[in-house]
Amino acid sequence: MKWQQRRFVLQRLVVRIPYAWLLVFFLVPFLIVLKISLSQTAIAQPPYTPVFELAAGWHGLVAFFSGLSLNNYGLIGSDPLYILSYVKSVEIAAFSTLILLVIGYPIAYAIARTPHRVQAVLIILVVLPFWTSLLIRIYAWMNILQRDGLLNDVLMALSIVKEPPAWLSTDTAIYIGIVYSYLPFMVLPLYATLEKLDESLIEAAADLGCPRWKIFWLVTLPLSSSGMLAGVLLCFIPIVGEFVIPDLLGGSQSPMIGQTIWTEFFGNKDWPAASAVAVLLVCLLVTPIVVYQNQAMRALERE
Amino acid sequence: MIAGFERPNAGRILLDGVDLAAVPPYRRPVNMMFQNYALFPHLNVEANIAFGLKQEGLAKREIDRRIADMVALVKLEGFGGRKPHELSGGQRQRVALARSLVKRPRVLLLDEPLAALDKKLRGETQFELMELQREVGFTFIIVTHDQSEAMTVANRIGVMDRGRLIQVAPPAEIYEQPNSRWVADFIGDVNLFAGRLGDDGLSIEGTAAGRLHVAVKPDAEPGTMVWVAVRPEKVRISREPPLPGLDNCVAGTVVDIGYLGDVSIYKLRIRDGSPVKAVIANVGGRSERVAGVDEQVWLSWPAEAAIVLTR
Amino acid sequence: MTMRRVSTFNLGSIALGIVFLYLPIAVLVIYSFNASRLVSVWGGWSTRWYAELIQDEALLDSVFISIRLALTAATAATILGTLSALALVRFGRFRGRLLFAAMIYAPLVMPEVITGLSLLLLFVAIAVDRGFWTVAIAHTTMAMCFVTVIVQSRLVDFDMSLEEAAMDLGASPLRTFFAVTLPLILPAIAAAWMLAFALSLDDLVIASFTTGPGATTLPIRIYSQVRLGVKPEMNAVCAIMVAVVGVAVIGASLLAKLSGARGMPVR
Repeated sequence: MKWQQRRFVLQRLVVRIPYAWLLVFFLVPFLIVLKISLSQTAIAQPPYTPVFELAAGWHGLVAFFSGLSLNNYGLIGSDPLYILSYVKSVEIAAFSTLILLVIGYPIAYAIARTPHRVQAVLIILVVLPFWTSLLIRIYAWMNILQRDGLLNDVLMALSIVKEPPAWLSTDTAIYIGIVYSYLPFMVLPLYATLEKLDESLIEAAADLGCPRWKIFWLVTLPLSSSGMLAGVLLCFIPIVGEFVIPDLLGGSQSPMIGQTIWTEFFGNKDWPAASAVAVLLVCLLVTPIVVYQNQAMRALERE
Repeated sequence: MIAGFERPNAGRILLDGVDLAAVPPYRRPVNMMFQNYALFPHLNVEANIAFGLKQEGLAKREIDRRIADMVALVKLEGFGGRKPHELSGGQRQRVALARSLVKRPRVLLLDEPLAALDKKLRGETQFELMELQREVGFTFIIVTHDQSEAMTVANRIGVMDRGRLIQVAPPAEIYEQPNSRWVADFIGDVNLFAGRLGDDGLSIEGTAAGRLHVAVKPDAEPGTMVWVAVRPEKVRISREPPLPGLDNCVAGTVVDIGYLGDVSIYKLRIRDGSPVKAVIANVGGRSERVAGVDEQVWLSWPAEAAIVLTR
Repeated sequence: MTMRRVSTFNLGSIALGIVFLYLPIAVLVIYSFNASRLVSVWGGWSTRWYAELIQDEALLDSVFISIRLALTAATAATILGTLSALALVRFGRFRGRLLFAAMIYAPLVMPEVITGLSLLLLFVAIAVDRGFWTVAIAHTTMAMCFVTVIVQSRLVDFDMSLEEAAMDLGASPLRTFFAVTLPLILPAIAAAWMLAFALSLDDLVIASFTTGPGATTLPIRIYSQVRLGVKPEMNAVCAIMVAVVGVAVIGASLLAKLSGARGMPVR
C-alpha cells in the first residue's frame, strides 16, 4: 500500500514541526531551569556558575557537575519567608478558586438556561473583558479601590463607614482582583458542560418525583463535574503563580510566590535562587497539572 | 473496503480483474453515496456535483454540460445555486446521488440511501433508483437493513451475517430457496419443522406436524436431521379436514389473529405445542373470516410449497 | 424548541455578573475624560489626557512594537497550533503522543513567571541577544497551546464523512484538506488567531522576562508607569484599548454570525 505509506510520511512531518518547537522552547528550558537552580550566583554575565563550556571538554564536564549543589534548596527550606510565600500562594489560590466556583456556577447555569440566541450574546459579554488587557482591568480596580476612589465614595455616601478604609495593599484587594480576572476561566468550561446537559434527564428526574433542589443535587451537579474540574484546575494552577494582581493590588508584607520569583530575579539578581523557587513551584503544581492534562486527554478521547 | 476506506485483512477485491488494494480511494473507479449524504456545506449544489469532475481536470465546458445533464436526471433544475442547508432531505439525497453518478464510475456504492426518507417518498425513490440504474448502466451496490427495499430494488441480493455472505442470489431464489435456516428466518417469516429425511428422499419423519412431504429431493443422506421450511402465506387454514392425499396436514388451534388490513396473520398452535404462523389474504369483506380465536382448525400446504433445509 | 423559563435567580445572577465585570472598565473610561488629575475630584469633561497621549513618543513606540509582535506571534502560533491540533485529533496513537499532549496542555495552566523565566534562561544559555524575536518566540510558544485547544475542539466535531466523500470523488488527501477541511475549520482558526493576538498584546510577565533593549512592549510601559500609582494618562490609554478591542470583538462575532449559518455542518 504505497499510497498509505506516503500518507504516513506526510503525517509524520506535520507532527514533527510543532513537536520540535515544543521540545526546544518548552521542555529544554525546564531542564535549564533545573540546572540553574543547582548553580551559584556570580557577578558575571551570565550571573551564575558553573557555566557549561563545550570547549572545555571532559575536564569541563567534570568541573561543571562538581560545581552543582543543592545549596539553593537548602536556603529556601530554611528561610521561613519562602515557605510563607508558598503557603500564602496556595491559600489564596484555594480560597479564590472556591469563591470563583460559588460565583461562577450560578452565572454559567443561568446562561445555559437562557434561549439559545441569547446565550451567544451573553457569552460574548462574559468573555469580552477577558480580551481587554488584564493590566488595564487591574489598573481599573486600583482606581476604584484607592483610598479616595469610587468604592469609598459609595460607602461613605451610603454611610456604611465613617472613615474611608484602605483597600489597596490588602489581601481583600488581591481576592477581588483575582476573582474579577479569572471569572471567565471558571464560567466558560462550566457553561460548556452545562450547555451540553440533556434536558430530558432533568425532565425524567422530575417525572420520577424529585423536587427542584434534589434534581440539581442528584442530576445536574454530578453531570457537570467534568466542567467543574476543568474550571477549578484552570483557575487554581495559574493563580498560585500570579504576579501582576498581587503586585499591583496587594501589599509587600507577604508576597505570593510569583512576586518572590520576580524579586529574586529582577531585584536581587539571584538567578539560581529564583530558579530553585521556580522548580519547587513546579513540583508543587505537578499533581494538579497532571490531573488537568489527564482530564483534557480524556475529554479528547471521549469525543 | 470497496471504496477504499477500510483495509481488508485477507482476500482480494477484483474490479474487471484488477486488484483494488493497490489503488487509493481517490483513484478508484468506484464512487459512494453516503448515508448522511456528506454534502459539502460550504459549496452550493452545482459546486458539490462539480467537485469530482474538477478533480479529474475536465474542461469547464464539459463539466457544465455534465452538471446540467445530471441535474435534469435527478430532477433538481433550478436548485443549482442553493446550499445544502437550504434543501429538504429528499433534495439533498438527490444531490448526493447526482454527485456520485456524474463521474460515471464502474461501481456505485449506496450506503442506506433511502433510510432517511419517509415511507411514501421511499417507495417512489426506490423505483426512481431502479430506472436510473437501467439508464446509466453501471453496477449499483446498495447496503440496506430494509428487506422489502432489497427485494424490490435488487437484481441480486447478498445476505450477510456478522460479516459473512451467507447467500447471494436473485430475490425470488433467496425467498423461495434459502440455503439455510438462518437465511430462511432472516428474510420474511418461516415455519420450520425438524425431522429425519426418509429413505425416498421426499418425506420427512418425526416432525411436530407428523410426516411431511416435499416435491424436490434435498442433497442429503436419508436418516440425517433436516428441517422443512414453509412460508406462512403457503399455509391454508380450513374448518373441515382437507381431502387425504399428498398434502401435508396437521390439526391446530388459533391462538391469536393480527389484522393488517390487506392480510391477517394467524398464530396457531399444533398438537405438540409448536407455534405455526399462517398469513391469509382478506379476499372477502369484513364479515367473512376463515376462523376465530381458540377455534380448532386444520392447516395444510402442498408438497411443492415447502423445501428442505440441510443446515 | 421549547421556550425556557428563566427564573429571577438566574436573571439576577447574570445581571450581577455582567455589572461586576464591566463596572471597572466603565469607571476607567469615564475618568479618562476627567479634566482633573485627581480621581477623587471630578473636574468636568476634558480630552486633555488623550492629547497628551498622542505626544508621548515612547508610549506610541511601544504600541507599534506590541502590534508588530502580536501579529507575528499570532500568525506563527496559529500555524503551529493548527498542526498540533491535527496531529492530536487525526493521527491516532503515534509514538510520543503522550509527551506531545503533555507539552501542549501544560502551558495552558503553567504560571507565566515559570515559562518566562525558563525561556529567558534558555536564551541566555545559547547566548542569543534578547529583543523583539525572543519575545516573539516566547509568545508563540505560549499562544500555540490555546490555538491547539480551540482548533482541536472544532476538529473533533468535524464530520469525517465529508473528507471521505471528497477522497471518494477523486481528491488526494492533501487536496481534500485544502478544499474541504480547511474552509470548514477556518472560523475556528480565525478565532484562535484573534485569541493569540489578544494574549500577545496583553502579556506582561513573559515579555518582561524575555525582552531586550529596544523592544519595550505596551504592557511593560504601562506597568512601569502604573506601579507607582494611578495616572490619568493611563486611563486614556486603557479607554482606547478597550474601545479597540470592543469594536474588534463585536465586529468579529457579527462576521461569524453572518458566515456561520452557511459554514456549519447541517445537523
